Order: sequence, then structure tokens, then C-alpha cells
Amino acid sequence: MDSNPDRESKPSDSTSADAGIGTTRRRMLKGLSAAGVVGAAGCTGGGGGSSGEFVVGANVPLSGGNSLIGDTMVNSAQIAVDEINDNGGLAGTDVSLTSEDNESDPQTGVERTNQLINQSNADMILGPVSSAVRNSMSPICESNETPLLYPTSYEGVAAPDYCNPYLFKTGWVPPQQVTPAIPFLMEEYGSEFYLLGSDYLWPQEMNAAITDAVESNGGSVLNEEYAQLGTTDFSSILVDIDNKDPDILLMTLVGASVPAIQKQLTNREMRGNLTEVGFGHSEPSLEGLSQDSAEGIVNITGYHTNMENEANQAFIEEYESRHGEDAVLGGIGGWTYTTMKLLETAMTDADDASTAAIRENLPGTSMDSIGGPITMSHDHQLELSCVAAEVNADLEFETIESFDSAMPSEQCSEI
Amino acid sequence: MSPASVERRNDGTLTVSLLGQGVSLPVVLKLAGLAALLAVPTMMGQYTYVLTTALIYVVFAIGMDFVWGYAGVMTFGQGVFFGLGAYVAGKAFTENWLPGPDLLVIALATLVPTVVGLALAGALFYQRMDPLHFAVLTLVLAAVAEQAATSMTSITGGSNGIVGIQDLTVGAGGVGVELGSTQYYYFALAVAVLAYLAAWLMLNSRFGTALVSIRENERKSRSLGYNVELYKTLAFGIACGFAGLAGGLYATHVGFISPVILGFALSTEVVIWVLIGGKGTLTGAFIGPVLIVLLERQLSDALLFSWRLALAAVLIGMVLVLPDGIVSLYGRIGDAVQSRLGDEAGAAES
Amino acid sequence: MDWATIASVGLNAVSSILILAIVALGMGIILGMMGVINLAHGSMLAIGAYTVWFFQAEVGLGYWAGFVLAPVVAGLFGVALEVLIIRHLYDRLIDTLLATWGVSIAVTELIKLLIDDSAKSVTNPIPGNVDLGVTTYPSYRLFVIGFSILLLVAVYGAFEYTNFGIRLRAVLQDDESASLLGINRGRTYRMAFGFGSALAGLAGATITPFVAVEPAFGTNYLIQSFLTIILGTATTPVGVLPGAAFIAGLSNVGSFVIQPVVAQTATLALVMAVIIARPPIKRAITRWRETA
Repeated sequence: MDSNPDRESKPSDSTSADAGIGTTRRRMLKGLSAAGVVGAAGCTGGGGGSSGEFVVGANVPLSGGNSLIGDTMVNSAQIAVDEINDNGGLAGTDVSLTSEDNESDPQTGVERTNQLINQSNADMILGPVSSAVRNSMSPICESNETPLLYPTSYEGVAAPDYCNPYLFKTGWVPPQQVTPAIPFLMEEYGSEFYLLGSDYLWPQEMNAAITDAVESNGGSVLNEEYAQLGTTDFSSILVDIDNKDPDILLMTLVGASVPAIQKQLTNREMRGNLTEVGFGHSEPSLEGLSQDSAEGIVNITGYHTNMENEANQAFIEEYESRHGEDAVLGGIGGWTYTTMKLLETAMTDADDASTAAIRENLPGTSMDSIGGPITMSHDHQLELSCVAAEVNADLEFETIESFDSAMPSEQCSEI
Repeated sequence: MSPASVERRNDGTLTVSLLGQGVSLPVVLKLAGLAALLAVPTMMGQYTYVLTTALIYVVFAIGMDFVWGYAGVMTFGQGVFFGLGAYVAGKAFTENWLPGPDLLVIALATLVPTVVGLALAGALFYQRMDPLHFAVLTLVLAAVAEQAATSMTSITGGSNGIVGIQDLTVGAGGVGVELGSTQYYYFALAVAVLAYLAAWLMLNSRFGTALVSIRENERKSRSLGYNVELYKTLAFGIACGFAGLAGGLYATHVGFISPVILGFALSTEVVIWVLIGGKGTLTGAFIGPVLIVLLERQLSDALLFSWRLALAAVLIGMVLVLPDGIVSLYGRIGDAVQSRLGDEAGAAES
Repeated sequence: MDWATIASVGLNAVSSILILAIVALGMGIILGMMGVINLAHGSMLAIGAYTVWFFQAEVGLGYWAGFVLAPVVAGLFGVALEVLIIRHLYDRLIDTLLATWGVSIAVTELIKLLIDDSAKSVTNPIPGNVDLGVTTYPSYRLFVIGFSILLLVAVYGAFEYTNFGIRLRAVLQDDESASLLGINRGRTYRMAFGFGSALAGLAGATITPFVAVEPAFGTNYLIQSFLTIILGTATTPVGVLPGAAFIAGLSNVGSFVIQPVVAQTATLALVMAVIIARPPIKRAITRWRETA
């Protein structure tokens, strides 16, 4: 579906409560439509919560290997929800946030999705992190006609549920993350890659895309290895890596595997012999590591907390005021905020906050987000640009290179 | 004698006068429970989904009580057979193995684990394996099964699981009802009740008597001429059948399955449900899952500390203090009531 | 494959085998003495590991303080477990499976509650590598190997030469005769529980520099210990080694040759096959011996 020409870029005042006319206009709209909303809530189901609220059901990992990430997602979503309510709500409907723990497990994720929809009357699902969990949840959201907004970077068109008409994907995909980054990495660090991932959907598909990109740029993949999801024992794998002596160790490990391998690489004094690039090495996953074990790690990401723009400064300020200066926040947490703000922008002129309105208004929406300019383009995939970022001595990310925005080619006929 | 009074029969059971008939109190309570369950979709609609899952677990638990509560065989690996049934159903539906009615797939999901269970139990029981070793072996089996399913990606989909399992259509010959969520609830309730009655019938036969005798004293049963190994194997096979049936229903209810349902998490949960409900009572197998699933939904938000911690504490407490579960409370209350009735009768006579 | 790789993988396997031997020995003593399969044994490893983390990260006393205290804390916990729970279940041993399973869940949840859910790291107290000629190997892992061997020798010595060990062995062999000889069975049970748990706690502490400390820390070792004690006699430091060697050795070497997930599965499946096939094989051998 092509972008709707009537859906122009919305002013960035949606990220700040102190804007001028935009906010006033929305407040007027809220006043005018308040009566309408109260009347409509019971009938049309726009904002289908029993109290006339729009219920955001966050389905995130709050326990297990990804629990720190899940916490950042709920925190960020709450900030967004509060801002949306301050700005008059979603199409005039008040928004509330309820969350469930999917334990990074697809089975639990599906059960929680069903509970959010059937018991908590969720009008949309936000999350999850793991591609495996998302892939199991999408058919459920489709059969329940509930939008699923997925803020996490993932495998792109290789995803089995890529063309699900109820799934909206705002995370970065290989054409944005892999394609521009591989030539840069090869120029900076060398052309021999060792791929190491956790054994599930996302790393498997990413490695396929990475191998393509490496080989078409004249590099070589020395080995592609998978470790059990969440494992912390890398002794045998590290011996193999040491033997093969790659220039770049490109990791798609997640959860507890990330700090474990960094520690073991440090213990074996292997860090000096190669460059670590970790797509799952975000701030929450590096939490607690020493400078020895983390400085110099490279990630290719659409957002990190040190990005310099007005919207991000305001967001970080708010996040730190709520959760402390040392609070952990990473790409996925920040992008959860962005996803909700994008929804807010999309629904500014909508009649109600129904599923139909979301599916009509979200495609084609653009805004200046905390990670830069973004647009919800074809196939319900967000168009954005990534940067290469390196962990500095303060254990924070610093941008070392910016890439152009990109999009996978159009795939889905049914969206 | 007042019209709706509680009386004591000669054999000690309490009865209630209902429509002029003396109906035993336990039956009345069970019917009341059934009525409450029937009312859920209309009265407490938002619990429909979660109670459907609970009722499917009831079928699972009935099988567990059969082999553990009645035959006395402790097993920590019933999840393997639940999962096997679920995977058979999941693959049969997504890959269209069987033509014809959906219920045939459910039958297959029941049959395959039964056969596997009979083979496994037969091999081990006939070797006179020590019960403690058998229990631990079933735990290991659950761990192996989950790991194997995770690594056999081409067969099971690995940790990504099997997605998009269709809703169940009940009917035959091209005429049928596709079950939406409320309808699935009633279907699950019907299956649970039928499972309960089937188990009850089997246990009230000579087969059931033999099982109890074996549970109480295996050596004596053997000397009385019972083929202990055969009975234990059959009981295990039946439990696996119930597990597989529950697994098949689960697959169509949730629509997604993954290796975790084969593992020891679910295998030990079903033990906990039966223990808390009351092992060796069948009713306990009905109460346990429903109670625990409901409590989990209610309390996991309200509790400041974790639900699992509370469950673990209850588990330990029950093992120490109330090993016969909640249903045994009925017996204790019944005794208290009985002694009061005895006092009244005594007072009336004097 | 070159010698350096073989040496590295081999040393990895040796350290894994020794750690598993210590853990399994702890579980085996409890099983052999009281017939109790302690499903909370994995929690003892976690308790030991968290003790190390706590004293290093929270109290700031460095690694070794926690290392020394880990077996004490775990041992005390084991004694408490025996006194509060296990003691009441000696007439229904099979219920100890359920009770100890409850304890293991409770410990995991308490850790999540009192500390938190995420993986903690413990800094390596002996960083760097040692040049062994054929390969360079992490110094700390060499320490683990050396320490484990010393520990097993020490346990052996304790069993043979101390009163504590002799009492333990007496009750292990024949507890009725032992009580006739005046040995306090109850106290020995408690000591055995404490000792077995302390071993697990120490093992947990030892592996913290290279394994992330998280609430479900000991689960893998729990399963591997079961298999070890079922495969062999795990009531003596020597008797536990063959089983531990088979299991830890197989999965370590296997992980190097094939995908780790497949190696784990294959190891478990192989052990199950051995357990199932062993009694008929034993019977066949006995019959063959009788006829020969």
C-alpha cells in the first residue's frame, strides 16, 4: 500500500508537551469530541476498553534473560502513554497501559497475548522482544483482529509473519542494519567474519542475510555457530574462534549469553585479536560488565541513548527523572517509546481509536523521532536509518558512522 | 426430619434430601461445581479463556491421578506425553495428515502417546526398576524430550515451535461447528466431565481395585496372583492417553506449541495440581488445576511477591501437613459434621 | 585438529568433569545415606554462587571472602533443610522428591525477589593465561582443576581418617548396626546433609568467574548429577569419577564436534539408554558367568 498523500509529516511537538498550536488544537478536539467519545465508546468499540479507555497491552519479557530490556520497554511505554494522555489521548480516547510477562518464551507469550486480549480487553499489543515470541503471537493477534506493534529490530522479510496484516513493525531490518554496515565494518576492521548466534529464529535469519552481504562485498564467513538460547558456557566455542582467528566476531547472541561471552573473551585475552560486533549487545545486555570486557564493542542500531537531537534529550531527561541518572535504557526501550509516539502522530486526525482506524492511519505516517526521521512505509515496515556505535570508556554508545535510510522491497500483496 | 437436612447413612456417607431423594453430599457438591462452571461464560465472561485452559489441564490431571493417586506410580514426566499429543495434533493439522473430521486427529493425538507410554512403561516395569529410579528417569526423559524437540528443527520447528494451528471443528462428513472461544469452553468442559466419568468407571471395576491393592502393597498383590507389571503398565498407558488427549486439545485451543510443553516444568506442575487437589480422589484432579489456574490469574498481579514462591510454599506445606490434598479436608469436615449429628441424635434419643 | 585445540578442549573437559564430580558426590552422599534424592541440590550451587557475588560486588571484600563462605552458607542451608523438612519425611521418602522440588522453586524465587532476575557477573580473581607449551590456557581454569583434585583428595582423606568420615561411612554402609554402635543417626544425617550441600555450594562458587550467576544457576548440574549417581556409585570420591567423566566429558567434547544443543541431547539420550539397558545386561552377564 502506498503512502497516503494526505498524511503529511506531523510536527515534532508530539514529543514535547510544551508545543504551541498543535497541542491547543488537540485539546479543543478533545473538548469537542468528549461527549462523542463517551457516547461512542459503548457502541462502536473505538477504544474498546470497558471504561471507554484504549488499553495498550504490553507483552514483554519481565523475567529471564531479557528482563532488563522488558523493564525499559514498560518504563518507556508509560512515558509515552502519559504524554499521549496529556496531549488529549489517542483520537480523544484516554490511554492506559497494562503489561504481562512473556518470560522470553513463545508458549508463555501466546498465552499472555490471549489473556491480554480476552481478559484485559487490550485494544493493541505492544512488544515483544524475541522474534520467536512475536512469530507465535502474530496469528493470535490476527485471529483476534488486534494490532500488534513490534518495536524490536528483527530479521525483516525473512520473518514468517512479515505480511501479517495486523502486525506493524518499527524495528530495524537487514537492509537498514546489515546492508550498509558490512562494507563499513570490512573497511574498518577486516574481511574475515565468524558468526555466532543464539539458536532461534532471529539469529538464524540474520546470519543468512549477513552471509549474503559479506560474500557479495568480497569478504568471507569462516564459520557460523549457534549456542543454546541463554547458555553461559562458551568454552568450546571460544577455542574454535581462537583457532579460526577472524577479524570480526559478529554476534547475534541475546540474554544472559551476552555478558557471559564478553567475560569469557576477556578471561581468555581474546578481545585484542578481533573486533566484536554484537547486534544483541545493547545497553541492558552489557549492564554490570567491566570496562575491560565491554569497551570497544560495536553495534549497528537505529537508536542508542546518546543520540543527539532535541527529542531524545527531552526523552532521556524524563526517563532519568523517573528512574534515576544511572537508569538502564537501550535501543529497544527507546524504540518502544518511539512506536507509541508514532501511533499518536498517526491517530491525530482519526475519528476514533478503533482497530480499523489504526490500520488505516498508521501506514504513511512520518515524524522526527528520538532516533531521527522515520516513516511507516510499505508492508507495515518502518523506514529509518541506522548508525554504527561503539562502546566508550564510560560504557555508553557513541556514534562512529551514520548510514542512509533504506527499505526492503515491497513483498506483501495483502497489506 | 426437616426437608433439606443433612443425614448420615449407615455406611457413614452424608446425604442431602433433594427433591425427596437422598443424594450423597459429595455428589451434590460436584453438581454444584459443575453448575458454576456451566455459568462461567455468561456470568464471568473474561475468565472463559483461562478456564478453558484449566479444563484441558483437568483432563491431563485425571490421567496423572489415575497412575499416581490410584496405581501409586510416581512419574515426573507426563509432560512428555502431553507434548507428544500436542505435536501430533499440531503437525497433523498444519500438514493435513488425515482427511475427514478434526476429531480423528484428536483421536490420533490420544493414541500415539498411549502406545509410546505402554512401550516405555512395559520395558521398565518388567525389569522391576526401583520406583525412585523410575521417577527420576521420567524427569530425565522430560528434560531429554524438550532438548530433543528443540534441536530436531526440521521435525518440530525447533524452539520456534509450530504456529497457526487451526480452531477445532466438531462434526463429520462435511457438517460441523467450528469452535469459537465460548463454544470451545463448553467443549472442553464436556471432555473433562467425560474423562472424569471414564476414569471413574475404570476405577470402580476390578481393574481399579487391583490398582489400589498394588499401590498399597505390591508384594502382597503379587502373591495374591495379580500381574503387577501388567496392571502398572496399563495404568501408565491410560495416563498417557489422557495426557495426549489434553495435549491435542491444548494445541487447538492455544494455536501454538513449542518444546517447553514437553519439559519438566509442565510435568511437575501436573504433579502439584493433583497433590494440592488431592491425589487418589479424581475430584482432586478436577479441583487442583481449576483452583490453581484461577488463583494464579487473580493473585499474580495482587501479590507483592511472586506467585511461584507462594505456590512453592504451599507445595512444601502440603507435603508436610496435608499430603492428601484439599479433598481430604472434606473428609475432615465430614467427620466434624458427623460427630455433631451424632451428638444431636444422641440428644434426641435421650 | 591441532594439539593446541585438543589440549584446550581436553582441559575444558577435565575441569567440567571435576566440578560435576564434586556436585554429584554431594548429592550421592545424601542419597546413599538417607535414600533422599534432593532436588534442591541445584539450589545449593546457586547459594554458593550468590554468596561469592554478594561479598565481591555488594560488600566489596573481593572474591576469596565469598569463596570461603560459600560452602558454609550452603552447608547451613542444607542442615536447615534437613531439620525443617526432610526429617519429617523419612517414613515417606518418595514425598521428599516433591518437598525438595518445592524448596528449589522457592529458592529460585527468593533470589529473584531479594536480589533480582538478571545475570550477575563475578570478576575473575586469577586473570590471564598460562603458557603450557602445547597451548595457552586460562590461569583460573587451571586453578579450578588443581583445587578440585585437592578437594576430592581431602574428602577422601576425611572419609578414611577422621571420626566424622568414619561415622559417615558407617551410617552409609549399615545404619542400623551403626546406631547399635552408638552413632547418633539423626546427627549424622544432619551432618551429611550439611556436608553434601557445602560441597555443592563450593562447586557453585568455583565456577562463578566463567558462568553468569543467575537464579536458575544450578538446574543443569542438578540433572547431570542425577545421571552421574545413577550411572555409578556416587558415595565416594573415587566412585563418582567414572559417571562424571562419562557425562561431563561427553557433552564437553560433543559440544566441540557437533552443535552444543545436539551434543547435550545426545548425552542425555545415551545415558537413558544405558540406564534402561543396564539391568538386562547385568543379568545376562551374571547368567553367562554362572554357566561358564
